[in-house]
Amino acid sequence: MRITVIGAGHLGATHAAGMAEIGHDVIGVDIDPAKADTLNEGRSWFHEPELDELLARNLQTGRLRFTTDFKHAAGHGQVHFLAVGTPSGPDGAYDLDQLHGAVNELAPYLEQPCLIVGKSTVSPGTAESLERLARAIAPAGDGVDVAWNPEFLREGTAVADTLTPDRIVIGTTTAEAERLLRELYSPIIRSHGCPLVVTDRITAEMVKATANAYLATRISFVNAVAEMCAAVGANVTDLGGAIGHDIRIGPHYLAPGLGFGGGCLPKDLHAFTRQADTGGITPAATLFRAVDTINQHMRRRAVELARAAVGGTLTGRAIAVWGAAFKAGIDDVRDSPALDVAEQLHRAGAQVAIYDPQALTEARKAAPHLAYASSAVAAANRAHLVVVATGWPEFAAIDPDALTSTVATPTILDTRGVIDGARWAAAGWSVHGLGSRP
Amino acid sequence: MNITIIGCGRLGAPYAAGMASLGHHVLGLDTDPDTIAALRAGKAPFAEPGLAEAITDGATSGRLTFTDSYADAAGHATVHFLAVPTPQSADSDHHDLSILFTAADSLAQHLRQDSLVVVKSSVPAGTCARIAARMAEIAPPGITIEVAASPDFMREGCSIADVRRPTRIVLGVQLGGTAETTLRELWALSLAAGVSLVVTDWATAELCKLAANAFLATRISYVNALSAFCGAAGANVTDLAAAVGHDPRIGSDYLTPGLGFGGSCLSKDLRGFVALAEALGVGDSFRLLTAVDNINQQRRHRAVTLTVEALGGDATGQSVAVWGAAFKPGIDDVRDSPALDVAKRLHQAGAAVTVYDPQAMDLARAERPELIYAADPVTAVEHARVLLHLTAWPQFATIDPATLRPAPHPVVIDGRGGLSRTRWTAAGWSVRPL
Repeated sequence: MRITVIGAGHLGATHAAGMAEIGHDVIGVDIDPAKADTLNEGRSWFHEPELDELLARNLQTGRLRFTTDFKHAAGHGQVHFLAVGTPSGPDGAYDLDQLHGAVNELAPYLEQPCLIVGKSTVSPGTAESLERLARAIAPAGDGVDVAWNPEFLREGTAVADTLTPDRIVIGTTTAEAERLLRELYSPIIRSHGCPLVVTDRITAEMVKATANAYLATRISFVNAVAEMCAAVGANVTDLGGAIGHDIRIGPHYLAPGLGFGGGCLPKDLHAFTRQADTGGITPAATLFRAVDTINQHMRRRAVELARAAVGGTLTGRAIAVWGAAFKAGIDDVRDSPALDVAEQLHRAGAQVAIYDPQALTEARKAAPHLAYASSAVAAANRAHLVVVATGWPEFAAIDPDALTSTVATPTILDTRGVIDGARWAAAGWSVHGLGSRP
Repeated sequence: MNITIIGCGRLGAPYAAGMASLGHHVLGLDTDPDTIAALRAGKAPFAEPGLAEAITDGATSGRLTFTDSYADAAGHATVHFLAVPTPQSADSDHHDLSILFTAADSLAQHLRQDSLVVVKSSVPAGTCARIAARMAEIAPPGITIEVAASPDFMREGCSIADVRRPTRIVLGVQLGGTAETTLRELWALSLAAGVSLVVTDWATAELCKLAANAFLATRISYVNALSAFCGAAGANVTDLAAAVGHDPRIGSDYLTPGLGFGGSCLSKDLRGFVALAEALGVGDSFRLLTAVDNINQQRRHRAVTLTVEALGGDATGQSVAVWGAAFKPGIDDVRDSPALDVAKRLHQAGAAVTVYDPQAMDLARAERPELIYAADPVTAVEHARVLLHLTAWPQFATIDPATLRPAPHPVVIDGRGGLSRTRWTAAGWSVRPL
């Protein structure tokens, strides 16, 4: 099938390459020529495992290319995916400017009946308003339909999430739109029995935010319990293991930590809260606010634990912060708990040195006033405290013995539960955590 | 192995019968004469699938006996399970531990051999430490008592199966004890069948039960909050839950919107958890669970509001039918039942409320004598203007609405889902989801 994907960001580039991989003839479109050029060379302009290989392989077959030419793209696709960003606006609602922009660029060239498919996370009702906009502009008029097909990509596993998703959700208003999308995704549905949920557009629009708000709720729940464990001397790791055996609960996302961050969970939670407020659904809004409060609280709590670990005052203390990305495996620092904690420590007067295996460039851009080190060991040089703030597995591999002589005080605060506390304690370190014993 | 189970209520009786069926010699103790009389006669003191059979089997094999005497219990075994109720306090949100402490004290007085005492009841963190201290003080000189925590995760309605093959066994012990060795032997069959055993300290084991129940409550309230949200946005919460549930990190169990949770465990443990957090000075983070509780209460309120609306704004003297009284299908338990609570509130609003439940009629009548009870679901609906479907008994979904004789222009409020909208609409009913 001939398809176009508008937006060559994390979502769009991965989706375009994935659709080519399953056999479709794909044109990716972006307004930024630099992005299109980089992708046409078989390289992604951001860090995502396996994506470069996927791009290169499909560029070679001729089934994939990137352009800035909307007219060309409009003539190519029977199906046009909108895969642009919907960041949080100042009031917490989704900012739909890029979606409107994409439709404004594309629609004037839509001569033939076609299907526009939104993938971005949006507030309910967006598909309907985009359909009105597209039909008003497009020469094809009412021949343009809009469907919704939410993305479920996780940064770091975006390629697998595209090619072998847990489910595909499509929200349509016409039988033809449903038929086209069933055909488009049939290779994936056939290859690994992926469930397909067909529903209305409004429900499809809400799925992604619902899932993210649920995961955020789960993370905050566990973090609240971790705080209680610390208060009564219980072990939150054992507890998570015990309750995770219940299939109604499951083992995922039960480890306590610094809380959630990144470009999706906080944004979706805030938008959900805002929608609940506007809809007058106070209990839901209260629940989501409580989830957010716990999340923010975890960052402050980490700072307080750091303060206690260095003897009550942060002023002038050298602190190594291991991790800047919002989670391990990626270079994304958007609303990163790690970078936020580093910032709060800095503001409290500590001398912070940050190391991250991949996110240093992004972190430097986002927080240029902080100090960065070229390795975990360098960051810890003469430190009074090491804070593990992102769960990179390589931090677990660091030998505490090798570090003991280079730090000022052998004290470590592991907010992600990645280090072997017993091993560090045996090496003479004072080990602190967020609710689990070393 | 010889064991005693102190407390033969909804937790202790299935545990006693289940352990006897695994080959152990079990003595169940209860101080309520009616309970003991029923159990000795081979009857289940309450409705629970498979329980009566398990009790009869235990009696036939000679492995399951009952007593009301602590001296008997102390003489029977050196492993004792405390499985008495720990209800919510009458005057606070904390667990009421008085029954548990009385049982522990009574047992301690009678112990003549070193013993292991396992706390199965749901308790807040710190309870095992208090029990160990009390029992050590009361027990005769020279008698050593080891205390362990092993909260139970059995579900009413399938408790016998859950005892024989639990989802996991959690054991909280103190270092240096022998509880783990003893209990591994007791649970050998389950462990050999692949059941996971999580061995930890007292406080962690105690918190496991509260945390698991609070989490399930959070899940239910989350989906119920969404359902209100979907109502406002025009989305379909059933599709939404299905789409979200395909994510393995989320899963689809307990993701069905409805009237919310009830029963003796979820609400009690949720509130006990919040009260414990307040007492520990970490209450701020537990506002989340207060929000969960509020959403749950809101569902009941919403069912009442919808009914009054359907009655034209005034319920006084109006005939209303309620299908369901048990807090969930399959059992006769009406403790903190959402169905019975909604029926009560409608009665208080002036409606003439007729209730039918396949199994919970006796207990419902005892709890709410002011309501009218019908002998069958069809009679309950006679002349009713509104029918509320409030407990998800499968038989309600199979009733043909055409056979019912309600008042003209009847309304059905489906608080549990499961009634076919097309079928009920075709039979002249106006169908309102919650």
